[in-house]
Amino acid sequence: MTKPSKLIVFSCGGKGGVGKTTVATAIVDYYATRGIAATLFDCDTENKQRGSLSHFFPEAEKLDIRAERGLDHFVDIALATDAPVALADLAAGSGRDTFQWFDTMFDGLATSGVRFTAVATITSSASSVETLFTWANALKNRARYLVVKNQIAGDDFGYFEDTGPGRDFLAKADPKVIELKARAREIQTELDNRGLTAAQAVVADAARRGPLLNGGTARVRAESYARQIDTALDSAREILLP
Amino acid sequence: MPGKPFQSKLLPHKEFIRESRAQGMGYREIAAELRRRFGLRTAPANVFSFVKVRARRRPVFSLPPRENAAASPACPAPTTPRSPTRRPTAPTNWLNYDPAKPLEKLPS
Repeated sequence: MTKPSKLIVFSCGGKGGVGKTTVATAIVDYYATRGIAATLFDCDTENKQRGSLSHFFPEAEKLDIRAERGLDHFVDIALATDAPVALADLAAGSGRDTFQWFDTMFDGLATSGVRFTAVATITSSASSVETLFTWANALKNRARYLVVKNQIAGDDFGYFEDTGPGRDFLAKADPKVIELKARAREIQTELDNRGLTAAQAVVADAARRGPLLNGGTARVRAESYARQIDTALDSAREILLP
Repeated sequence: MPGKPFQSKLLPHKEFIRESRAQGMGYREIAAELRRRFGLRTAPANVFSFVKVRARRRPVFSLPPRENAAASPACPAPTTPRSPTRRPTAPTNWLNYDPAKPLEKLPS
């Protein structure tokens, strides 16, 4: 009997507002475009309705990992489905719960053929990078890492690339590092408000897009955003594909 | 007639407490987590007592050091070495990262 192979992709839930959910939705689009089934979990139970993964993908299961055996429940569901990928968008500040669980469960799950990819979205702010280091310090090389440099607040990522822990991380974890190009704020806000990812906005009907996104340049921008992040994610296919 | 023997309400959460201590969490934090996660109200001191009575290695109680070694010459100090006290293993700092210190950019 062959071992079930399952890839669990999860966002490193640290600092809020860095674009974790935007990146998570782009990854879901990435799988959908390639016909790869993914079980979705919205573990950001404190996130307001419009900012959460389930706002973009209603099929995503809302799950509170901080509840008793919440993470066990998450993995039980993920393993019970046929989908080769499970994607979880974790809430800001869910580190401690996850680390402790990881220490207890990792060996058993790894033996069962489960692999983990941690997705860390960072900005030019030191605090977002600190979140990544905290997670990496806890998970070590038991997960593969996808680091998304979100240019929302500029393109200086010196706290990631030019610090002692950053260089250590790059050398030891061998992460895939991609960029999420800066997006026009009004368009991203409208996408979030309507529960549309950039890729969904391209194919959505006019009523769902609304007046702003129906504008010619807005549609071109949405298309460009979708293409940019898809290409970037594809460069990390090694750790994103099951 | 004796009643039901006492059993700690923390007993069902023994594994959680064990792992929390292994992670370096304090008793106050564990008590707060027990309340948040399981709705169990308990004082940090109760968690401490729960851990203490179950600790495999109990601390050896001893008198404070002699103030003046010459005061009791008839009783020489024991020569048998004491077994070292087991300390909790510190979590490995994989990235040499100290969250308490601000990140410093290095020269390129």
